[in-house]
Amino acid sequence: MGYFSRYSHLAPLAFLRVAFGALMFIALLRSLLNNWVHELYILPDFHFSYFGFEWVQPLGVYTYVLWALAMFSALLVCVGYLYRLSIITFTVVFTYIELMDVAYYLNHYYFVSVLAFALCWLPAAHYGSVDAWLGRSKACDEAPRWTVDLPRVLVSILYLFAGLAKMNSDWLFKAQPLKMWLPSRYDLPILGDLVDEPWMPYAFAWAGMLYDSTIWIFLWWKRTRLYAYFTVIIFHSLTAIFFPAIGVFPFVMIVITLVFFDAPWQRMLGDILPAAPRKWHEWRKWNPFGAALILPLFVLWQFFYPMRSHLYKGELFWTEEGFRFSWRVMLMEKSGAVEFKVVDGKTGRYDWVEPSTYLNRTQEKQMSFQPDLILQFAHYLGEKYEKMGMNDPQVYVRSRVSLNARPAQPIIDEKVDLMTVEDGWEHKEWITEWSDEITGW
Amino acid sequence: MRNSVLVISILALTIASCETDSPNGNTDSFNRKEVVENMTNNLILPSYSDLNTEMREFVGAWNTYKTSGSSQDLENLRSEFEDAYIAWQEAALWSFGPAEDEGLLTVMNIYPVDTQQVEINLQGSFDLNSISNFDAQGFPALEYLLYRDHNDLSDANTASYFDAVLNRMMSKTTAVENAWNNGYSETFINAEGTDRGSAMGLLFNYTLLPYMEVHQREAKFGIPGGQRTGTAAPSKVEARFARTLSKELAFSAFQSYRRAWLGLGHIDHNAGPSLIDYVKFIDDRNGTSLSGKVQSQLDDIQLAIEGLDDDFYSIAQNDPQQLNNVWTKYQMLVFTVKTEVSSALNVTISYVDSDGD
Repeated sequence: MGYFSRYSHLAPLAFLRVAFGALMFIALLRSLLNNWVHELYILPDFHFSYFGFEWVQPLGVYTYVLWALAMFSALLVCVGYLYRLSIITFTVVFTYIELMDVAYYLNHYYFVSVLAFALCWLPAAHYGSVDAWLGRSKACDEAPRWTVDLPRVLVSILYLFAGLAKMNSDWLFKAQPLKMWLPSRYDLPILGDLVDEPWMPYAFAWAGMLYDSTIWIFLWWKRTRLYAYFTVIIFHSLTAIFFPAIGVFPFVMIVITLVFFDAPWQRMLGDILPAAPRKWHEWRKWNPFGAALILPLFVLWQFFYPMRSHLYKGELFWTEEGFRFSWRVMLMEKSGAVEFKVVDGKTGRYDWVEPSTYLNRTQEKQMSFQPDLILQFAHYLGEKYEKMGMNDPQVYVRSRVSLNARPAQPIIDEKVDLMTVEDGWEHKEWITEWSDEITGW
Repeated sequence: MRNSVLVISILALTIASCETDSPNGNTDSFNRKEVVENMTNNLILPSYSDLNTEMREFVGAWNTYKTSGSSQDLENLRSEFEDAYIAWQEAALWSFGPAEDEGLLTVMNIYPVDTQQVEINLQGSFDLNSISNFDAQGFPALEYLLYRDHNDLSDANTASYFDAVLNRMMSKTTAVENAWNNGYSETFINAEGTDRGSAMGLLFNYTLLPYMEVHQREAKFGIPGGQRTGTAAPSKVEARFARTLSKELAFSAFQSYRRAWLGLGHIDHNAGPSLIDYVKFIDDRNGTSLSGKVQSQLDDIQLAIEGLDDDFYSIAQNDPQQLNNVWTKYQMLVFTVKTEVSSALNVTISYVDSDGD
């Protein structure tokens, strides 16, 4: 256990705290200014839930209170004031926001929750914080090395799995979906002239795979760190330019990966906010209650949960069983169309329902190719029609889904009454088999 | 690894900067702007100009009839009405930009017409801007006045209602055409890219999908045929009073939609750079045959409409399945456009962040 008795300077962790708090404040402010709180959470009649989290719903107009809480606590995390309280508040509130509607799921929101959870257990405000400056908490320059390494491990896991996910036949040998995505960016200055070049998608696909699967190694290794970081900047800038829809993610990665450095400039924070003299020690132990149990389990979870998809049969991209929370980012192009037939079990009278009556375009688009969301919406319709007086409603689905440029085919068995089906962890037999195959991770 | 990325990036930048010196030198690329230019100059602008001409002739015929009251002028008025209604069908699909700003569609063609509301309005005062009058104006209201059993256009109230409805249609049409001619064409052509606000995005998110789904598939076939509920609704057919006009209207609307895909000029029907060319270009890269699929599904719809009788009202009464069959053909195209075409063109449908599905 020699590793756990080693100490290292806290500046990288303190820097991470400042950067994370500031980025989250900006990201939340951006969504607020885009009016997404209103459009995505308050307007729709229906919200898709994460399995087991059906009780997490938007709070109507009070959803803005969640934003206020998350933004305020993000600022406090940034400056390191009332740190434990503010980071726990942020983690809880942000995760609640994320859980309100699975249709808006993004890998990087999940990463925010993961990182925030880790920060709840770390002495990130022992250095370069308002707490330390005011003497509100014990301050120190050095802490057990694992506290600084934990965020680096989390970033590494993200990259590793994102890289593994790209090791499949579509991505590497067909250059799909990049072949479809790149040409649509023809309006870019300079780079736009290149997007129609046949070799471009292949170059991007292979570079992306190599980058994700190895960059973390070069970030850990001191000799290559600086070069690796330049690569980080170039890679994520390119993704930001080509895929503006991924939002703040590239910037989050560019800033967060600075945690790998152990550099003098990070200690600037200690100069700006020096510790109150009597509360300061050169080094301190750090072993919050429960950490020795929770954190190992947490890291194991991070490592094994992304691999659960291998327990399911069928094509992962098609069924999406085990697709979320596994760092499969910018990996496939899927689009669908879906219609619901609600049938009265007694009279046989029916009604074909257009989902757009109840959902916004993002929800509709995301639902149209994700079987578990289709099931949720089917139940919503069935229950709604029952309340309106229909007897034993049955709900059938007619769907077409296209995956990575293949011809569209039904994704849900049209003969199955979805009211008789419950969601769960086992394989979903009511999803059709996909007619093609993608090999690889 | 990091070096290879650097090399690729530098290589990319170098090639790109050479490339910009010879803008037309790249044979692999597809000029999307030409598609939008063709669409604007040879389809959109002529269809609006046509609509304006036909509307003016319609107004002229109405003024003539108002003074003469002769049955011959009434016949002429009805014929001008039909021409204008058809011209509208061929311009209705450009439902974005000025048409959306002016609310053109609501003013021109909400049906079925609320005949009770029209009768109330004929008693005296009315406000065509109010929501209750959205389905008491436009072509359907004028059609009702022109073809209802007890028609008496000479009645002062009726004539002034006819005047008001027609003037509103005329002024909105002119406003939309003026907007296109005074700057919007350039804005549209120069809106490159595939975002929601780009020309491609607008065509996809207005004309190619929702317009076709709502105003052709549903309004002209699905609703009167009772496709969604199994109960036909003959009273909801378009041109319910003129009766034999339904098919021609539906067919004109569809032809215009088809030309939008194929880049066929509004006037001469000559082919120019088109969306289908672009789909074909993507096909070649992906090894798919999407362009052929879209064209054959368009052909299927055309055949299905051609097979119908002129009078949709009696079809909806006697054999609504015929209308639902056309609905089904449209639906095949909707599926293709929403799935494969949507992926291939990679047009932004929603505006929130996503990390690639």
